[in-house]
Amino acid sequence: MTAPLELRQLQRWFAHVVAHPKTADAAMHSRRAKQLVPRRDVAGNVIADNPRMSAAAMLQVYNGGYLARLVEVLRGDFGCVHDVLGGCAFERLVSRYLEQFPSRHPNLNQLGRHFPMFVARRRKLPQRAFLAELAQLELAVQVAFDADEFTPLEGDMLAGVPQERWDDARFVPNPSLQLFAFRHPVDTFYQAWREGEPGDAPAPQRQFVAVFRKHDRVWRQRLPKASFAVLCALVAGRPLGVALAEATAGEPVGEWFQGYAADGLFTAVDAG
Amino acid sequence: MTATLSSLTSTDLGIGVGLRTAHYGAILEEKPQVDFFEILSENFMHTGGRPVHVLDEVAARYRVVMHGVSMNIGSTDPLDRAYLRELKALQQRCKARWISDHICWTGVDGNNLHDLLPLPYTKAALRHLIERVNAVQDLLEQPLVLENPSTYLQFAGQDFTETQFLTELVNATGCGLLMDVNNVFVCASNHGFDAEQYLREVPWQHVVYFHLAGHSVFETHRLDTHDRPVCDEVWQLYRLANELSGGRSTMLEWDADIPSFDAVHAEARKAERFRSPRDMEAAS
Repeated sequence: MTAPLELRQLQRWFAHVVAHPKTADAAMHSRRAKQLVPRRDVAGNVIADNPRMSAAAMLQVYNGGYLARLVEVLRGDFGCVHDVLGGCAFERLVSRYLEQFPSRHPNLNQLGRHFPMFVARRRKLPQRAFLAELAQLELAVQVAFDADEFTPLEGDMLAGVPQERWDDARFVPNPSLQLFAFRHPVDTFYQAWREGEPGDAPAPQRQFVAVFRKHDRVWRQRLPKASFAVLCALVAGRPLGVALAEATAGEPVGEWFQGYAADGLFTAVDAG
Repeated sequence: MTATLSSLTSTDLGIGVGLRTAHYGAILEEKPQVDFFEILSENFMHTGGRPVHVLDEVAARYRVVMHGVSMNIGSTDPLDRAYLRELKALQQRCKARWISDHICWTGVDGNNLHDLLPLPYTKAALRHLIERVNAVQDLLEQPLVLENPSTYLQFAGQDFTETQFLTELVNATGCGLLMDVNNVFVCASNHGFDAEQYLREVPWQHVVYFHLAGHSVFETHRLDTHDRPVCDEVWQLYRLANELSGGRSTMLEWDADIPSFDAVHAEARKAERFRSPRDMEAAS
């Protein structure tokens, strides 16, 4: 389907003006915009005159709405990061983010997928390592919420695995499960924020967290280091016997495993 | 095609409201009497969590119609066929009576600006739109229903008024129209045309249903914000639209500063005062 050139040129110009990080007026003076539509042609030749508003003012309705709308979406996804930074700093950050990662998906729930990586790379952003991990945790909650539908492994399927096959059994994780070894106690900070008691950015401290969906609700679970290692090994597809070797003698691996299964972290078992 | 336009335009589902996240709990627990729900299609695509389970429960109890914001039907980018296939699969899942979107474009060069951007009402844009609407209808195997958007500027050198453009489009494609009465009022105010005259020029035989909403008033323009009750002027236009059309299914949009479900539903039910419903389809 060949598009009429004039319409395509108009749309490229309009899109540039709408998504410009400053204002519609600044956008119209940019080199890119002027290559598509000379500034002198905008009022009257491209945009019809309106006695109450200039062409720049009418275009600004779209330009202002673009950033406001997407800031609101990302504020919904990264509310804790927003509150740590403050509204103005968050808006500036989002504006830069949208320049590098404009939405290319029909669904707004994909908009923040690159946000943690973007935050991690903002060298001038104070506390960026902590904020990037906080953003990663908030994104994980969204990803778990939207993950594909699944049916957790039922207890009777586990009971059907012969005793002698347990060591070789491999498990399929449920698609919402995500595991994180954070360098900051971001889950503790996030929980305090959710309870209306936000604190200062914490000092570095390892924290191991699983994020997953169970019964249509998203759960975050802090794990002991060894339990985290066992779970990571299982998610990587290692046999149960190999995965359990990640734990040291005396640790309650059986209890951990029962917990994983009860939380619906697996959808299938392959006992060979 | 699995549905015909006449089957859509002759179906009066009554007065519906939008299915919004803030109301999931109230709807599932209280099971209110609602004629139909309109879902925002994209809210139930690319997600396998609670939204689709809520949708399954709602679809089992209520009639559902689909309304999207990302078809990008007016764009000069290629049609997103994967998106259209997902749209069709969603319709099959929730048994939606029809699929609607907007007469607009939302992005170009692969970017999505997530806004309903205006098309110039020119012969070239019309040809382009007709080609794409036909392609979408072939893929969806049903008439597409398209909404008149709120706009904040008009392009110079247009060949048609909006109603002329809509008429040419529906005559060439057989698509349906979603007549947003609030958008008519907002555009009439912003661009200085007569809203009642606009309604008298609408090709009513193609109109499938109505939208109602509230909007914000600024010094220089009105903005379609869906964040407040419907204003009196829009109710009066809605009365005229009902007289001219003979009555159509009607849906209230409330998408920001959303009050309780009961408050939204009560606002929607005000439409009863202004409409003379045709033989309504019995609720399933």
